Amino acid sequence: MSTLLNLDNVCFSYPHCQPILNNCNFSIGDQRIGLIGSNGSGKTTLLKILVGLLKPQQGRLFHQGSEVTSERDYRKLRKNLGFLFQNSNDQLFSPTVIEDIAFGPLNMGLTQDQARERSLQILKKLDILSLQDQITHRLSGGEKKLVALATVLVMNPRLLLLDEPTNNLDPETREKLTAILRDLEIARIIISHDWDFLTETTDELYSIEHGHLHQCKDGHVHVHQHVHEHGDKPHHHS
Amino acid sequence: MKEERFSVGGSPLHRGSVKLKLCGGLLFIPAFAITPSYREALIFLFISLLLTAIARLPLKHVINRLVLANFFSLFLFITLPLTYGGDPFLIWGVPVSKAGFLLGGLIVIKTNGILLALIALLGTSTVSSLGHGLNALGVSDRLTALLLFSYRYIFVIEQEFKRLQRAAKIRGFSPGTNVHTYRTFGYLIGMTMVKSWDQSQRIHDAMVLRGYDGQFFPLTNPSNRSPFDLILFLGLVLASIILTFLGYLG
Repeated sequence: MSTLLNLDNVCFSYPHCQPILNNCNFSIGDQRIGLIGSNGSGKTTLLKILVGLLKPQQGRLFHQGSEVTSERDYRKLRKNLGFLFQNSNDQLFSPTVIEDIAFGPLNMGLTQDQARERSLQILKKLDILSLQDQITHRLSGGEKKLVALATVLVMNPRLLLLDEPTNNLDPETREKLTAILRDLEIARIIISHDWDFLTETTDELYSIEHGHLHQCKDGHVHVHQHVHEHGDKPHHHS
Repeated sequence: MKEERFSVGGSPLHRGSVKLKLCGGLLFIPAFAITPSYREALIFLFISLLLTAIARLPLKHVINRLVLANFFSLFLFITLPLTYGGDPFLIWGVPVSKAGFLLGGLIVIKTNGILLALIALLGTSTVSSLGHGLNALGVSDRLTALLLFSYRYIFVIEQEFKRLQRAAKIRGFSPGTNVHTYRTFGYLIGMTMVKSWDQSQRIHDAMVLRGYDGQFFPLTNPSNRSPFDLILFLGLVLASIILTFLGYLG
């Protein structure tokens, strides 16, 4: 397994707060990782450090073995990463869906025709081709999430970083998103509190506690609900 | 303000080239505005009505718009005859200026005609395609981006403000004429601005992550110029030039 990203003893704290990452070590190649932790434990901060929206105050970030320091290194790194924001409104800024999806490819230097072609392909792949000429702010929350995912996938990232993707989704869209991510063969780090979703879309589970990352060892922990015949009585599990 | 009500439709004006509509309109509307005489103004008005008819716009909404604008011109139409100089005549014993009366009428015709032309020419395109059209006509990338972003986020900001307003309302806030009300509105507006600022930061982040480094490359629509567009454009240009000449020389 080749390592794509590597964090070496990274520390980060926000002004006037306890350190949120404390000598954090982490590396990812082609794994599918779920990331859990309580609110404010530093999950989003970790993702932001990986893409360079925040810079480590101590420690180092490596991309394919070489240290990332300059803005140029970060630009190269970001080409390999696809970050899906918690709020799709932050991600969809163009007037129409097709323009928004073509924004990334055009920045990468593709011609108008190539960008359009590639955007249409990705819309077709996600089964939302009919949305191409819609005005982005009139989409429903679920549609916005899928379009936002398309804007990320169209860049052919090697690693997806998804920040609570199933928040506020209706069951139908959640199912659709689950199926899409399950079938994609792209490495990923998914922040979520949705255990069933993580079970389906990731293989390993990490948690953040007190500024450190731990791998949850015993396979993939998950919780699910089912009818229990003693559910309403006090009882012991053997 | 918000819905692009007139931008949906199947008329030739809806399908037409934004660039040519913009160019034609940019000549036609100033020419209409400066015309000094009734005869030409009425011909201009007729052309505007013709454009509205071609655009097949929902009549009810068009009239609603016009009513709104005519409140203003009605005010002029009433005050001008009473205040303008020249030889007066009497209506119910009140001296009324004939020149003022005629000027008021001309303003009413121009207001309505220009509004109709604007709706028919520009209202039939979405703001996004107008943005791209302006860009293609040489308006800078930065201004185009500014227009498109303002349009995209004005709704989000409006929603944000309304959400805060509702939150205040369900906690028993009812506006009055007192310091508490002013302060609350100050907080609401301040909070909306802080949130918008935060959001603009997040949007910028999202753009940077997708390779944005200060240069904006909008996806342009393949141009679909039809003979109708050219005829419309030439018609507007010719009408503007001829009518302006006639107005000042004829």
